[in-house]
Amino acid sequence: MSISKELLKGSTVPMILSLLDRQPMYGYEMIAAIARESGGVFDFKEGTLYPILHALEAEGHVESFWSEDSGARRRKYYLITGSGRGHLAARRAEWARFRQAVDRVLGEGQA
Amino acid sequence: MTEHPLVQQYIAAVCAEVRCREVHGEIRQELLCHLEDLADRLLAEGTPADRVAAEALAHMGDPAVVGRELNRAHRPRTDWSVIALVGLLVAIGAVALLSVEQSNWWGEGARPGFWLVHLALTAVGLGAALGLVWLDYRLVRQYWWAPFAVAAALLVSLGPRPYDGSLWQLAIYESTPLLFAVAAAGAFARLNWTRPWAWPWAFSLWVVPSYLFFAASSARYFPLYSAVWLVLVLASRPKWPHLAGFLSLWTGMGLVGLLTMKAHHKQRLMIYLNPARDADGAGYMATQSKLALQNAGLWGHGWAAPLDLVPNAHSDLLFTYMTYAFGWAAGAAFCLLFGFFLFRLGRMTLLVREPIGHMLALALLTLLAFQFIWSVLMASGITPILGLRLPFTGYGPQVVAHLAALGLMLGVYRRKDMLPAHNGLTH
Repeated sequence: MSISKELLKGSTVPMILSLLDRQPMYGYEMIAAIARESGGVFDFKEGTLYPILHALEAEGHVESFWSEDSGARRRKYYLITGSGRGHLAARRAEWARFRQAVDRVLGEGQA
Repeated sequence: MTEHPLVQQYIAAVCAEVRCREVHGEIRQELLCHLEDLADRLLAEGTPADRVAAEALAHMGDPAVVGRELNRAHRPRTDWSVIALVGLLVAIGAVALLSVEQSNWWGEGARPGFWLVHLALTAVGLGAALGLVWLDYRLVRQYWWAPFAVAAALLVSLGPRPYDGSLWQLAIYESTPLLFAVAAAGAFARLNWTRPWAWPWAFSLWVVPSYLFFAASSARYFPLYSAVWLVLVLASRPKWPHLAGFLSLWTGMGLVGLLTMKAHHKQRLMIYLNPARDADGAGYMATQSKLALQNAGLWGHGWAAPLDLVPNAHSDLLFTYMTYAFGWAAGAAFCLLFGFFLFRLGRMTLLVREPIGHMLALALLTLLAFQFIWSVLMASGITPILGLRLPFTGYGPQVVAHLAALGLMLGVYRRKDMLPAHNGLTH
């Protein structure tokens, strides 16, 4: 079952930031982690991840660096910055409020 | 995978939407890497080899959409709040100067109509700023010696002559701290503290301009340049032994200087540091400025209020005049405005990740911030009167240098997302 684009839009950034909060990752790793941890619910177009990452970097929430593996593939890793952590905390709080509010309204509808 | 025509086509379609060519190489590499990982997975899942490319690309999504979104992340950036704030500061300075002119007071270097000259200088400054926004600032790293040589040549040719009141001479003086600051930023962008010559190199970047400033009777730029140099040193992350080396050398130089100083120089230094000791002689300006500030009152003495006792009300001590005429409320508001401006500049600096740009932005921020803070403290009698001026306001060619510095900063910020990555500041 695919999730509507509108619902996905607001939560992609916090999901990415929370992944990077644990450790630096490169793009493909992030896609795989999201697919895995969401139990396959989130399976979005992988190319669209990169504009989001680049935009996060422009805003200063993440930094990127190229891994210096000679021989193996040179990968572009992203890591979260202090400002990124602050942004993540704010988005988490926002999500919690949002989720509670929607649940309440939906819940009352069912009763 | 890399050579597959479908893949090449896809990446070309993405890059076609990204106007900034410099980042195409990176985007290509990142997407290819992703596609290769994806291809590995599909092969492992049993996809036939001849269908892998097509399937992988299907997972990626519409290249035009990806490209357009990437383009938005790599556009030139403008900080309109900074531009608006500078506009406001320039306007306030112009208004204050008009008030000075109409108070019919003629101080050092001022004559009737100096307000119009100020407007002309501001226009020149704005023109310089506009031009510098488009300059590729990375040239600073490669050609750092050019502004250095120019500034050195200017100071050497001026020599120890006294100030003769001409705007041209002042213009030459005022350009030197900016030139040296830009040169130092470029030089420090190349500095590698692990090399043995790094320490003497960094030290000479401080000693040479400082000596030239003293030799050309413009010692007032010495603390300004030293502050910029210090910020650049700290930003380039030296090791503790390097810092210890600087400290010990300075302590040694300071001691030698104090011991060999002649008595009357010592006296001047003491008065400099405490103007009240000689309130009618060498400490006159500082004492008068402090008095004027104290007598300003909340709303000031009104438009074109005469302040005869404060020399240089139109240049060095414009802040004093502004507060005297328009009150403590105005003085405080001006400081808040300028403080907010510096805060926005600081934010700009933090967002510039590329090393050369970061160094340059730091140098320019320090240049502007130091002059603002010192001017205000100077007017209040807390720091010695040094002839440093409040940026963007005040009569004189320094306005051109200040606006040029701002233009450079805006230029650095403009390109911040249009450059290929480097291996970041944290590594």
